[in-house]
Amino acid sequence: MLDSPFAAEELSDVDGAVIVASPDGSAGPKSGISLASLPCIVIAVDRPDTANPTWADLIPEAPVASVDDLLGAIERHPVAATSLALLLRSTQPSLGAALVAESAVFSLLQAGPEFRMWRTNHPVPDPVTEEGPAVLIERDGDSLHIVLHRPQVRNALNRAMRDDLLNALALAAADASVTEVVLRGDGSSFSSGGDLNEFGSFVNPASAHLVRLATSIGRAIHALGDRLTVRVHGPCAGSGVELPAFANRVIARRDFTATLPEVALGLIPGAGGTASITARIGRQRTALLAVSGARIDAPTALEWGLVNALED
Amino acid sequence: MGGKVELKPGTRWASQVCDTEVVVVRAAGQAVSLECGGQPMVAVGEPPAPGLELDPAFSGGSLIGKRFTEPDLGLELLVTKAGAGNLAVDGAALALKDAKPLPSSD
Repeated sequence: MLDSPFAAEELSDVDGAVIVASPDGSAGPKSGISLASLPCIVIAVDRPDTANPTWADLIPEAPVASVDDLLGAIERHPVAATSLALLLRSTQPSLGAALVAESAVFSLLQAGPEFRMWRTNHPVPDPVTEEGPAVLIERDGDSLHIVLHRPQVRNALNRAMRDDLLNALALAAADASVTEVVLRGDGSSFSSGGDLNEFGSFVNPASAHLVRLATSIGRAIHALGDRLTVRVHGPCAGSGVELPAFANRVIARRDFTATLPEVALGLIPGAGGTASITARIGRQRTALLAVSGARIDAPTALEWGLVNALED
Repeated sequence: MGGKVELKPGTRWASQVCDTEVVVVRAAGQAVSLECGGQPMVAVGEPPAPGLELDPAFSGGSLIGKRFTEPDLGLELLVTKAGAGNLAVDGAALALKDAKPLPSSD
């Protein structure tokens, strides 16, 4: 299909089209068409082990996700999956540009049919009153420990935690005498990702785009450079995976696992993961995780480069 | 020492009578006397003057990560090191910032 002079027409299915490339991986575009703007997802199947086709959006990889896993996930949420593929195909010139591009797509999907369907099917429970700060800051001389502190919800990232975390990171950035910063989470996991009870609480998608960029935790983590180490543990999801990936050094406990569940909500990773995770494991494995929603374990995360080291 | 100073954003100040340190987030519109524990603060790195003592009237303590403001002056400080004294400008204790959170983007 990629060879056809009508490829652009064939691939422009607004519900999200899927192409499975030929077994030998030779089905790359030959007719000079650019896939960059075509709303489709290109999957390479049965490729030779040595081949790494740059034109593929997705390369199935055992045991993470088979081609059938991917096809099923795309069929359930074609708009989100295809939007993600389009975004990941574009190379952004800077971290800032990547954050802007991701946020714009995320906001579009907030207004889309798949997210609306998910929220309808998952009503928000009554809020529970919480006591105490969402983030703890502990200073020991020139070391600063920033601790996510909503263990009862596995450190789900809500607005209070977002603002407290930004404040703590700003403190570290502003005080040059802080030579070592450690970010970690209390309880059974570093973070289970965005607090789903707040999903859909944006005022409107356009304003949410600006709010998201104004409150980028990933940008603040990245700015700390070599001063920051993130220590992750337990089952992490979404922003609980995306945000550590912004740090220069991530150390995972052996019980760490990672998943990107957003596509199943009709969304894409929205905490900067399409920039931070892509920088660590490449765009095809990022797409593999995000489209499939598969969970990888700590050794796989280390092998892929999602984390820098394991500890007991 | 002890005179009024310009508090520029990003500059760091230390208490002379406790461990408190702050960084200036937003400058005051005018030169002020910044105090902690009832005594003037000095630029971080400057040695404290000998013989100063914590004024019990300003001993409520400063918690790390907390922001304090003087709304009329536009001044905002962030505590980067906790200490026993509390912050004041020109003899008046500073109030904890009434944080106005941004809305959700999720």
